[in-house]
Amino acid sequence: MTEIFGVPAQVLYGQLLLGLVNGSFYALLSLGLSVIFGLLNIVNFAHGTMYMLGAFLAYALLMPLGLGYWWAFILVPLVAGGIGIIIERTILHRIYGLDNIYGLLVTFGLTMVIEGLVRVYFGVSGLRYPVPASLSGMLDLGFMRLPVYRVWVIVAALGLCLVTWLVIERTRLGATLRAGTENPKLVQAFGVNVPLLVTLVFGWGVGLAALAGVLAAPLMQLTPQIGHSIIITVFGVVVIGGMGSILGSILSGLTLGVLEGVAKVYYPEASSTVIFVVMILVLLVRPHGLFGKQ
Amino acid sequence: MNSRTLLILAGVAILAVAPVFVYPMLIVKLLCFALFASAFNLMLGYTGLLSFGHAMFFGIAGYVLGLGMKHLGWPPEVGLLAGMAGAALLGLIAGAIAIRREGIYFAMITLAISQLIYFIAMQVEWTGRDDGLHGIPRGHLFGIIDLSNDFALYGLVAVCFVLALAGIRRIVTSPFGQVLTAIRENEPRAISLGYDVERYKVMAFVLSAALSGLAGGLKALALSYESLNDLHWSLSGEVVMMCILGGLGTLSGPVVGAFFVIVLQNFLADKVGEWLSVIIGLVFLFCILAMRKGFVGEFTDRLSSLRKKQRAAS
Amino acid sequence: MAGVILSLNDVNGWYGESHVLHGVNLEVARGEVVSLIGRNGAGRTTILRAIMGLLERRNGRIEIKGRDMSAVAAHKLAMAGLGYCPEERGIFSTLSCEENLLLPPVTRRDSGMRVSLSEIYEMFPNLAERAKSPGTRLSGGEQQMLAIARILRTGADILLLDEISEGLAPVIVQTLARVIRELKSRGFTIVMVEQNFRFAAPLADRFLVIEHGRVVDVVQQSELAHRMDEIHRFLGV
Repeated sequence: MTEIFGVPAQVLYGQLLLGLVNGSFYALLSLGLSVIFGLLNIVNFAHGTMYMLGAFLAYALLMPLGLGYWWAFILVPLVAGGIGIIIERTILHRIYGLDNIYGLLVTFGLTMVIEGLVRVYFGVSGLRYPVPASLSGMLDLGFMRLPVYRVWVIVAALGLCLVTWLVIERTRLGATLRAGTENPKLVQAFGVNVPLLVTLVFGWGVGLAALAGVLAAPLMQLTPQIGHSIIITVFGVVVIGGMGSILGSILSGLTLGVLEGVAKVYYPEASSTVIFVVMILVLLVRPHGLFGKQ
Repeated sequence: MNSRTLLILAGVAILAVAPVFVYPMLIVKLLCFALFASAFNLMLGYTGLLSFGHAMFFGIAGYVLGLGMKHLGWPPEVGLLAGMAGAALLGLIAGAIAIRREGIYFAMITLAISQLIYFIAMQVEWTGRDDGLHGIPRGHLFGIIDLSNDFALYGLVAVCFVLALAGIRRIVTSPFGQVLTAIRENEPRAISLGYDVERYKVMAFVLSAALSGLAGGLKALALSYESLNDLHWSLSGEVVMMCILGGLGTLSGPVVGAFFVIVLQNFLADKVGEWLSVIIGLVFLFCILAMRKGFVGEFTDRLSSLRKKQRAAS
Repeated sequence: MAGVILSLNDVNGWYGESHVLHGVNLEVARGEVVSLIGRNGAGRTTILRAIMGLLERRNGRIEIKGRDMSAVAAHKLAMAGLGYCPEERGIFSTLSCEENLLLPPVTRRDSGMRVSLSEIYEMFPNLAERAKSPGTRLSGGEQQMLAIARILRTGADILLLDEISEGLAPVIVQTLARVIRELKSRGFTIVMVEQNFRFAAPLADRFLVIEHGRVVDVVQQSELAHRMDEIHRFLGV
């Protein structure tokens, strides 16, 4: 059995895989957070809650309604996106002119409300969501065996990130979005309905977070807390990558997931703190993040 | 004797007799959080900086006091002072790191630092990790007063509270405090007037941290234990809420906000169960969207416009 | 005035608490080139911003092609045929030259004033060369051409141009003058704010003198010769 720095290779590869899985979630969530920040200038504290909501909605579709994973994959983002649109139109709409801080506070308030509601309806104890049959089992690569579902998660998440990146960097819609982030008033003067764009982007961001939740559902015990724990990490990722930078979010998310995984193998006590140390260091040296603008 | 002095005297009087009518430990808890919120307000309300990691000062002081009193036999006054010093030191370090950034970035760095502390505390043995630190003795204040008597403890907390609040008032109305207000309202102008804005901000941060530490220490002393919850960012979020609900930039606002949240938590918790955070969240949202000045701010606004109408009418 | 395409009636405007436009009254006829002249700070740019719905607060009546547009949402003004070149040019740094060009949606397919992309590249060959460069890497003159080109593509027939000759080399300024003359011959209506009086003088049909946020005088092209001294004195040239 080969050893790498004193740790069995199998163990390392296993943790790397887990790290990539976590990193995929970080990338997906920080992507949405970053785009929302770029266009709306709001730090969406509720992003983690929408991720959690996505997982619970998947559960809700399965349990009473018998609608399985693939249904959830399509319906949950739509429902969550709809909720996001309503939130934007009724609440966020009102705070646009104000300081950044209000966005953080309002979404913090939303987190409390949504999480509370989930606790009321689903209780606090963990729920289990089964791995879909079509994605269960193991993949044998010879030197290691990988759970199919985890590979799916990585592929799906990266695929979504790639599609998002392509749309934003290579299409006219993306160009309009980028211009709207830079100078919304001018873009409006050109005849683009910027308020509508903003609403749709928020809905999309939230829908994406919820989809991440669906992807995550079979991997863990579903409790209302899962949004909590991940949002702080995702904040770290977004700050490290640079608020508003798509590429920054994706790369930082993946890298940090892997870093965490490696840390768990060699220096487990540090694994939960790695991201914060990196975040503080990056902010000291490059205040706008690694890929940040301005 | 003007109305403000009257109100203050009334407040002190109420504090003095309250434990006869209400369970003193409840008021102690209220006072600790009211103090915490007031300390936090120095940052948000007066200097205009949102720190999302203040729980670290509250919790760290509690642990310092707890460990010192339980394992090193410190008397309570040393424990409290050590807690404050620990919190102030942490404030200095955190401030030095975070102060260069503005607004949202400042909030995020403070959040990151406090999470770092939280996770370190979770790993380290002498915090008791998930179980927390239990059995913190009440001790004898100055070697004489036995604090295991709830009323004596109450007295200590009440006196600290009044002194601290008076201290905050002094800070706020002093030239130092006025510079802070200037920084909040128009930082570029403050810089152009020659003020070393960063130093002022760090000083405000350290003061706020120290007073938060006082609150944390008192709470650990009163409840005889300290847990990781007091380092968690949700506590940081709660204290932000208390200040906003009560009204930033006023002295009584954070106190009112803290009372509101704690009372709600204590009295509604049994009856509404999980709906509690939904309710508090909704009230918070309402406050931010409709009542940005908070309870106290809106109240004093109404009062002064009423007075204006009366004067105009007469 | 016959064929009025744009009119402002008693328009007041504010930047926050600052009252900057004090009852502006003006009319522009279809196909006219009108120049807003005046000292710095008189409110000329503000008038253009008021028309485009970019002022925080504004009242009064603004009519475009006979329709009252005072209460219309900002993004619908482009639909009425307005094309705006802001003073800062507003080229987006995160977009390439071609993306900048294609950004404003085509609003008036039917106006007959629409310049197709190939025609634009004929008129402004530099832009074709620099199509893939990031917008802000273009020279000042190229950025100005880009700013004009992109609104021509939309089919706008009323062009609001703010200080287009500012900071550009004389050769480029001459090219711009040629462009304006070409556009005028095609029937575009142009309202231009120009600090450079020598640039604007031969191009405009009428000059509206702006002072303290209102129109204080109107000078016809025909009167220009014998009022030139007066105007120079007024502008402090």
